[in-house]
Amino acid sequence: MDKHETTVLLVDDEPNILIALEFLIQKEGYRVLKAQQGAEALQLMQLHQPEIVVLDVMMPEMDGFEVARKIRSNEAFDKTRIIFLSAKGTQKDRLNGYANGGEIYLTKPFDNQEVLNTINEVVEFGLFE
Amino acid sequence: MNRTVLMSNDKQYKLVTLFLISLLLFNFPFIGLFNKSAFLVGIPVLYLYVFFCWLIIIFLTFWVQKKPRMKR
Amino acid sequence: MKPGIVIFISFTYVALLFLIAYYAEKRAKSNKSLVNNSFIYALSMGVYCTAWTYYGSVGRAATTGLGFLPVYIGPAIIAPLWWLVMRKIIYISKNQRITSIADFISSRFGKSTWLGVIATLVAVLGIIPYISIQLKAITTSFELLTGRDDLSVPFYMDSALYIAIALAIFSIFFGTRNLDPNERHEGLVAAVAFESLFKLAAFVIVGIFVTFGLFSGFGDLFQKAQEHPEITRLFTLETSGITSWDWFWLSLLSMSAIMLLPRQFHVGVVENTNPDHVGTASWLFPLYLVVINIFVIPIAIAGLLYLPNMESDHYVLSLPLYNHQNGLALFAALGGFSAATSMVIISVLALSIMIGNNLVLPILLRSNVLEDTVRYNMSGRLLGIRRVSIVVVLLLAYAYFRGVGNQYSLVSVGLISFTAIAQFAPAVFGGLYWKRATKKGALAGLLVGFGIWAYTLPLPTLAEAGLISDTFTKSGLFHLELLKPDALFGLNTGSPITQAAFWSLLLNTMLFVVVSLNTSQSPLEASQADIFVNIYKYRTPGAEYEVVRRQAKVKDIIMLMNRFLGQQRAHLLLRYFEQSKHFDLSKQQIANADLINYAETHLAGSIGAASAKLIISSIAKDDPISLEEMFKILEQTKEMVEYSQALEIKSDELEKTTQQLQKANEQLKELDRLKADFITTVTHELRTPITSIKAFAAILQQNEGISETQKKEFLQIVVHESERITRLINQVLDLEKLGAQASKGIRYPFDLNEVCKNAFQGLKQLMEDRGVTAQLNLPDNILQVEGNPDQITQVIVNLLSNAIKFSDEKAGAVHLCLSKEGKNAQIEVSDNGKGIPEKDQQFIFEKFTQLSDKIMGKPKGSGLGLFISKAIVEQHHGHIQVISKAGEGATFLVTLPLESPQE
Repeated sequence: MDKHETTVLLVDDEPNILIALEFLIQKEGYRVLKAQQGAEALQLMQLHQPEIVVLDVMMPEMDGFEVARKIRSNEAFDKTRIIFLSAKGTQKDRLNGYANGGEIYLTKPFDNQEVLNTINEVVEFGLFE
Repeated sequence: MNRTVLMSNDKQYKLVTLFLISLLLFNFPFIGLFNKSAFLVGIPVLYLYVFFCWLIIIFLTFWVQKKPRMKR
Repeated sequence: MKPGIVIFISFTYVALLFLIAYYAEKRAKSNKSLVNNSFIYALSMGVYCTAWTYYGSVGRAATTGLGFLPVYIGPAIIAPLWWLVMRKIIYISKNQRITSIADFISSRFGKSTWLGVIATLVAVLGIIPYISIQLKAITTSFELLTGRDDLSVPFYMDSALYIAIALAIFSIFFGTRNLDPNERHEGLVAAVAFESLFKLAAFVIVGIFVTFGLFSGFGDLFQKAQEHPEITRLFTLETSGITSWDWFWLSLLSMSAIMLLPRQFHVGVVENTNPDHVGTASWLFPLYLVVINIFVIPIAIAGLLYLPNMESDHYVLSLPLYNHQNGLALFAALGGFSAATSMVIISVLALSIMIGNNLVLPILLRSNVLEDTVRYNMSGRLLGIRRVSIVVVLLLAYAYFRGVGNQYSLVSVGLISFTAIAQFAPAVFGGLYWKRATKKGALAGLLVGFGIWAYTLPLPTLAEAGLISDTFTKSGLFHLELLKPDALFGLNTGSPITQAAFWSLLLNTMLFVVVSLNTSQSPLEASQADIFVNIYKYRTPGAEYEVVRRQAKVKDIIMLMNRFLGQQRAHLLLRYFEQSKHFDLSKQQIANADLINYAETHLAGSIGAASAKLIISSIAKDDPISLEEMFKILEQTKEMVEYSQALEIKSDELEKTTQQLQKANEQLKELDRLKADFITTVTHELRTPITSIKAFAAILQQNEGISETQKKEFLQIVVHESERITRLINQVLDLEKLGAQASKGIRYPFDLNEVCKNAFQGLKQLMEDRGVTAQLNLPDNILQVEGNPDQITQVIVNLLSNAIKFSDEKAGAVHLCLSKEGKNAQIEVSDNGKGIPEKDQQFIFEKFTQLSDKIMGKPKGSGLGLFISKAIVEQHHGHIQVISKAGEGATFLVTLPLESPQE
């Protein structure tokens, strides 16, 4: 899969983090979408069907887990891969993330390269099958 | 305790004592001491004794019952 | 002397008595009482000296020397105690409206009807022989004066019968003219006192005539007597035939007789007008006895010397007659007549009251005649009963005199009565000082004592008179030697009186004590016992424990009082009651305990305690609570109250403790949760800027070909996020500082308007950035508060930034308003955001609190801002609160006390 054909949706309520992630992922060659709220993210999902969603957990109104569940409840997004990127990093939080439909769980503060590698791996190793 | 109570208690004791004394004086063995055929001023001593004791008791009762003179 | 003259003089004397009695009553009515006087009182007690004293003492002295004296020594011995004992009896009797000795005993033991009946029977049976000897003395004196033998004529020609009838009329006239609830008969008392003086004078004059007329003084008399050995033997006790044992028992019997004889009780207690008169009587009466006894022995010796073959009981009359002193003899006979009549009058009156109140009425009431008795005028009926009783008693006495009494000396019959009356002593004196004494004890003692008395004393006299078979006197009842009346249980003291007194009083007392100890009192008995023993506690009449809960209709009570006391008296009494209790009886349906007790006390005055109790119980729903029950109820109630109080306290405590524990637990849990949340929050709050910083730092490090503008932008973010960390750390430190600084803060008055304005200006940029419309309202006047302006600024900034943070996303609006509210300045910070749910409002000022993500969204602060704000406001003696509804924004109100300008 071509990186340039791959769309990554970034969801985080912290604009600065979005800026940082956008910079990194765009530079790697992906198409990037940003959302500061869950609802906004779901709208973008409908419009652009991104292959990868990087989801923050603690967000106002609708938290990351709920967004993930909503994505998973829609068959159209079966091939979408969800990467949680959260400040919460306990084992329980991770399990919670997987249970709610996430494929990968990363914690903040993140390592830039690790995030990129993860996205790349997802794309390269065809996790979409 | 006020004075009248003390006085009335005192009176009670005196009267009881008087009763006990007369009980003793008017009975044996005391009365037996004078139970003999002897005369004093021509009168049998037993009669004299009984009437004398009697009057003494009466006088003492009167003395106890007599209203205490008011003291200024 | 011609019988006509004697009879005429006798009736003149009786007429004189009428006059005295009538005058005394008239005086009493006009409130100038003749008898309310300690001397009259002491004289009226002279009713103790009867024909027995007047004639019998001389007779007894002529046979036993000083043997006549114990009967007067007894009263002399006990007189000092009157002040204690008599007065107590008087107080009790006035308090309880006691009308006779039988009533006293009945009343003491729970107003027992049975005890009243028995005591009345004992008194009546005991006194009838005594009255009979008075009739005998009067008859004898008539015979002596007129020289004819009345006993040989038919009874309708017997002067004693007519004397008895005259005395009955007199007694009825002055004793039962009306029903006095206090049973006071001033006329009678005056007559009796007069008679006491009269008989004393007569006897002393005879004594003087004998001692100084027939002899030249005491010395001469005794000297002449010494010439006769059969007279000399009288000068000592044993030789005269009286033993120390007899002496003791006779004086003991007399001690009880002087107080318990129905007539003594009547004049000494019932007719008493002032208990303090007892003091005078306790020496004056013994003195009276001394005077009346001084000449007994001289007259006896003279009789023995001059008239050795004459009946010694007649010496008082026969000596003047023998010396042809007819006038003196008549005077002496009148003295004897007065001694006899006073005794008879008072005795029959006392007995008739007893018979009416304690015997007939209870029987009438028990046999359900009440229904028709109520229909009649009961007070008239009561008087009728008494009148009949008087007549009956006198007739019985007359019959005893005709049938039996004539064969015995005056003294021996008199002593039989004394022994009967002494049976009251254990019950009366025991009941007076021993609270534990019970009705059953008194009843047992009295019955057994009376039984022994009847068996050993009067029955043998009846047998000897041939009225009943005499086998039991000869060989004992059922032919048992041990039961011979004159040697009961094998004891033979020689004198039947002494041994009867010994056995009856011994067994009476023993049974009284033993049975009392082994039986219990009814509630009424217990309350009566307490009244009698502790009378000085109850000196106001009617202050009686309410042991019996009774209810009656007022109209029934009034009806009873009308019936038994007469309309007029009842009306007066009820009026008095209404006045003293401030009561209007016409407005009341149900009589209270007060009225019932009042009625009962006054009825008791007319008809005796036991009858009154019966009558009242016939109309009152007697609802007696047993003492035990009462105590049990009391105890239980007390326990219950205590227990429930204890329980209440316990459960209160428990609840409190539970609440405290729960609260503590919740607080702990909350704290725990808050701490966990805080850590999460702080971690998140720290991680978020660190994440940014780290990300940008790495970007800048690894991407050299980054544009200058971008580099600048990224660095700006790094700086900004660093500041965010610093702020957070500062706030955490502030929290600690606050606790430590609490009191130390520098305080001075400052301008709150200025502070609000500065805080508002400081955040203006932020508000503009967020597109939040902001409004600031300041009052025209400058509001001054005291405190630290920096801290207050911090509070306002905190609240404002919160408001900005939480204001509506799209059209945010924030409002800061300062105003004066009374003595306070009020800062109002409001937003138009989502508001704070009610359940969360109480928590938001606590440490580490942040509203849950779902409602408020992700927390945007450290969770310390509001807590710190609250602490600061409270340090400034102010108050912070939130008013909010979910969806309608939130308003924070801070009130701070205005600085009061110094004057």
